[in-house]
Amino acid sequence: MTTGVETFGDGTLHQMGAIYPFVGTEGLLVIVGVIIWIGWHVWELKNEAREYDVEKDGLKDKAHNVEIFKWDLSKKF
Amino acid sequence: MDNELSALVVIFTEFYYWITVVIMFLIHVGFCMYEVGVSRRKNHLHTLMKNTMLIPLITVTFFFFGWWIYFAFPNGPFLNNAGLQLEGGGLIPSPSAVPWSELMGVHMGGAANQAALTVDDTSFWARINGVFWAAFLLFSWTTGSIVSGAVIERIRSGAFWMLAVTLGSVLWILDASWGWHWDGWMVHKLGYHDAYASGVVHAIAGGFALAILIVLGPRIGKFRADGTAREIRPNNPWLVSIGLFLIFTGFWGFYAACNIPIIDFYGPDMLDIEGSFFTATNIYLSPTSLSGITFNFLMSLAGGLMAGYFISKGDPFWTYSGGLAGLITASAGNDLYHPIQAMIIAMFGVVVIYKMHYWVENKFKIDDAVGAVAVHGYAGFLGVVIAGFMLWGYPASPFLEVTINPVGNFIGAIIMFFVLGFIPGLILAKILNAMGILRIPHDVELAGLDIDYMIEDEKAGADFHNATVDAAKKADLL
Repeated sequence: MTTGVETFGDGTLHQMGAIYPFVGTEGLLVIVGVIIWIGWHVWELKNEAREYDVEKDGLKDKAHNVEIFKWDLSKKF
Repeated sequence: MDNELSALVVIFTEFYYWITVVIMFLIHVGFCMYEVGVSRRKNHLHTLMKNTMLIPLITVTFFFFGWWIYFAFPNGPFLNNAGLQLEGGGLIPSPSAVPWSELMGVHMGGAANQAALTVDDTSFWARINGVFWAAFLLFSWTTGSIVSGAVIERIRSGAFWMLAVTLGSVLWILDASWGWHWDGWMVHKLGYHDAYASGVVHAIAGGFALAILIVLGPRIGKFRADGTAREIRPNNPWLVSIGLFLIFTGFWGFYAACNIPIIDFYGPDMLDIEGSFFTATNIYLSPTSLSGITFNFLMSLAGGLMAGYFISKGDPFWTYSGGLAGLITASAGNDLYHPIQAMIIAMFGVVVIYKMHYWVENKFKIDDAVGAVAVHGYAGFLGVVIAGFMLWGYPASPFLEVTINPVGNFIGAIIMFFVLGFIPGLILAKILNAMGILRIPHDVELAGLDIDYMIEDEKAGADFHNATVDAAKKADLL
C-alpha cells in the first residue's frame, strides 16, 4: 500500500512522472484551494468591517480620543 | 577532477552549498532583529549579544566535534543496523570529519598524508567537506537561535551559550546522524522521513526550549496573581516582522542546502545499474527536484501566512510567525507533496500550534516570549507526524525495503521532541539552575539587562555635554 510511489530502486525513475501523493486528485485539490482562497477573502471583508465598527464605537469617547490623537508615530521607531 | 564534466559537477556542488550558506546568514540577521524587536528596550543589547555569540561558539564546537558526530553515530545508540556502511555496529570511523583531519582544511584531493584516509576519501571530500560542514553548521546556529528567542530577558548569557552549544553541536547533529542521514538507524528501522528538518531541527529545538522555559520560569510580571497572562507587547513590532521576513528569505538557503543538488541516480555511488539519470535528491538520496520544492516552499509559506492572519485576526507577529510555522509543518514532506497539499498542511499546522501556544501558556504558566516552542516545536512535531500519513508506503530510501509509515514517523517525532530535545534540556537547565547560573538576578531583571550600557551612556553623555558647554563658553557663545 502506498499513497504514491512504491520504489525508487528498480531502475524506472527515468520513466516516472508525477511522484507526489494521490496523483489524479489535482482537480479536486484545485477546487479545494480555490474555495479556501475565496473563503479567506470573504472572511477578511467581514472581519475588517467588524473591527472598524469596534474602533468607531471606541472613538465615540472624546476623552479617550485626546490620548489617541497625541500618539506620536515618530516616537515608536 | 581530471575531466571537465566531473570537475563541473564537483565545482557546481561546491558552489551550490556555498551559496546556501550565504543565503542562510539572513536567517540569523532575521533572528537578531526579531528578538531585539520583541524585547523591551532595557534589554536590547544583551538580547542581541546573546543571539550573536552563539554563532562563534557553535562554529568552533561544530568544528571540534559536531561534524564528527554526524558521521560517527548513524548506527544509533546501541544498534547494529545492517546498513550500507555496516561497521559491526557502534561508532563509524569518520577520519574526514575529526578536527585534526587534513580534510578539514584546504585540500586538492590528492593522496593523503594521514594513514586513516583513503584515496576515495580525499578525492570525494576535498572540495565538499568545507561547504557541507558549513551548510550543517548554519542549521546548528538555527537550533540555538530558536531557543534564544524563547528565553529572552531573563536567562544568563553564559548559561544560554552552554545550552546552545549542547543543542547545536551535540543534540541536533546526533538526531541528524540518526534520522537525517541516508544510512541513519531511524531510516532503516522506522522508515523515518523528514526531508526539510521539521523534526531534526525544529521539533528538537522546540522541545529543548520548552524544558528550559519550565525551569527558567516566566519574566517578572508576565503572570498576574490570579494566574492569567499579561501580554508583553513587542517594543518594535515592525522590526519583529521584518526580522521574520528575513528568516523566510534565509529559509530558501535552508531548503536548497537540505538537498543533494545533482547525482547520477543509476551511477556507481547509487543504484549502480545500467544507464544514467541525473537528479537532485533529498538527504536520504531519494529523488526530488529544486523546481518541485520551490512550488511547495511558496505554497506552504502562503498557507501559513493566510492561516496565521486568520487565526490571529491580522496580528502582524502571529501572521509572520504563521508563515514560518506553516513552512515548518509542511517541511517534513515538502520534497514530495503536491503544492496544494503543502498549502493545506501548512494551514492546518498553524491553527493547531496557535491554539496550543496559548493553551500551554495558560495551563502551565509557560512564558515563551516569541512563541518559539509553538512555531518550531509543535509545528515540527506535527509536520513529521503528518508526513508519516501523507507519504505512507513511499520508500524511505532507494536502497532499502523499509517504507515511510505513520508509526515510524510518530516514534521519530517523539525521539526528536522529547528524547533528544526536552529531556536533555530539562536535565541541563536543572543543573545550571542548581548552580545558580541559569537566571539573571531579580533586581537586574527589573532594571534591565542593559543597565551597564545605560549607566555608561549617561556618564558619557554628561561628560560630552560638559565638554561641549566648556567649548561653547571659550568660544564666547555662552
